[in-house]
Amino acid sequence: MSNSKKQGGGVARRYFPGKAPQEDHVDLSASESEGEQAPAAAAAAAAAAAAAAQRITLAGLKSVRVSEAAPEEEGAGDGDGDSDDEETQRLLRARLLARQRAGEDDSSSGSDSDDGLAARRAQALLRQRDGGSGSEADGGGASGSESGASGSESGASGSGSDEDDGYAEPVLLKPVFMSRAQRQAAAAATQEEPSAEQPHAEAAAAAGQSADRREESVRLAAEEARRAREEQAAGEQDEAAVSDGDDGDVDGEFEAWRARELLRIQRDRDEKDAAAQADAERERVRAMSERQRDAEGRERARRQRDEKAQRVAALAAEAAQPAPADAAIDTDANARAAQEMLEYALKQSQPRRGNSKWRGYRAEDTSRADRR
Amino acid sequence: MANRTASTAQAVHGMNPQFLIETTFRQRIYDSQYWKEQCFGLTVTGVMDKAVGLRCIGGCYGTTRRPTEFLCLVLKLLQLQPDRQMVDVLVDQPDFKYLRALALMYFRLTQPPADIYEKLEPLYADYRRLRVRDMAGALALIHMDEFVDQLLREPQVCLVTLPVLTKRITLEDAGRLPPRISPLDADDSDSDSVE
Repeated sequence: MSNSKKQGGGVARRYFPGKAPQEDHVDLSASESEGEQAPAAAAAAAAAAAAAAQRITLAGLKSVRVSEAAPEEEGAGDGDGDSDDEETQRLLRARLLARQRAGEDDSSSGSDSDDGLAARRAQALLRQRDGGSGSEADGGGASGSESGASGSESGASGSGSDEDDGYAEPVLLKPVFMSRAQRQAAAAATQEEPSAEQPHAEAAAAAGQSADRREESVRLAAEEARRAREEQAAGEQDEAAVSDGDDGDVDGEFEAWRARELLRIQRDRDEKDAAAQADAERERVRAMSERQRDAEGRERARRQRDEKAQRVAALAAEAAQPAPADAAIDTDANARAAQEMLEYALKQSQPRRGNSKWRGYRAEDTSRADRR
Repeated sequence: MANRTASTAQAVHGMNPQFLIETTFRQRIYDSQYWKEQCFGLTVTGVMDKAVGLRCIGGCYGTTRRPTEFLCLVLKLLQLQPDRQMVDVLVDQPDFKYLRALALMYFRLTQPPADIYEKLEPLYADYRRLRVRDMAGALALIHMDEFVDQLLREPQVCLVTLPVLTKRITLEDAGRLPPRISPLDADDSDSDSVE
């Protein structure tokens, strides 16, 4: 049976994504059926199958034409390791031919065959790598595919039609290691390029800026020196005008000093007298009884109110006087304003017992009981 | 470093001595050319030499509030904080009136009230002339006794806010000061005794 033969041949079945295996049951186990082979031979066959599978995986994204390989494997599979290697090489050659055929025929038009699928995937990768050079590579795609055996990066992007079967993968740039010396050389090269390009312009600009700054600093220094000279000259003139010499009128200075000193003496005496008077008053008030103190306080308040009323009356009398004849002012308006102000002042000067505005409750004021 | 108070200085009225001058005027002094050129690294002896060459007293003047040299040296003395003996010598010396004025200003700012009355009141007898520069920059004349009277009576002299001074009456009542004897009264008593 084919399975057993395949299993006896030690060929490992691969399951490719997107494509189900042809056979209904694929025994991926490397072990063969029971009783058909000796254990030693079976182990050797398993090892050979594993090696063949590894070689197949190293081929890359190329798919294995299982339908074509199956009968070939059937025919060639003898179960030996050497035959497996030959089989693998035969498969690789078949793949290469298929790629070439795909590049010649421009067979990326939707064929569902395995070769077409792989070719389409490869072309999508190439298109991404080449970028915008796909159209340019169209003309050379055929020649490139003819010349290049691998045709992976030869620019064989096929026709200009965008055929993205969903297998396009983002192209990742492979990092390339650069030693420190190389990095420094590259950095030095990039730095030298701009300076080499504009040496004269930058030097000229720097020279111009330094010259400007120098001129500005010289101008500021000159301005400061001029201001200092002017201030010094003005100060000297002032000092010459205001003499602080003491060799002038000695008697006059003495008399002036004597007058000042007498004023100071008088001031000190007045301060002492005021302090003594305040102390005496303090003692006198302290010696008084509370009744006498209250009576004296009320008398003082009454006296202050009378004085204030007299001042207001004097102001009112002065305001009531007619304005001079030569005064070009509106006398009627001023007279009315003065009258209103007088009435308000007289009203405010009236004695008001307490702060209450309810004047009808005088009899209810219990604070007046002591005063009766 | 140039504006820092001496490390050996003690607090005056509970604060850094330099803070007796207001921040605004103090900063003006720090930024002035005289402070940077003449007052850098100055000792008390150097301050004395500078004070001998003073031409006027005053605070800050002009539109730019330029500090006078007198005010700069006052701040320098506050920064250096000379000892009491040296200050007494500077106050008592009769030869250089601007140096005496500078020492009086420093004495008034830093010493206790009783010492201030004892040291300043005898100088009421000194009536030499002093130039004073007002805030507009104009020069005027003042006498030493008037300057002393301002130091004892006024709250602010040369744009420097003076510390509060206890009234003389209070100190007399407390017995810490004898009543003031005016130079005129002393002269009269001397003349009477001579007669």
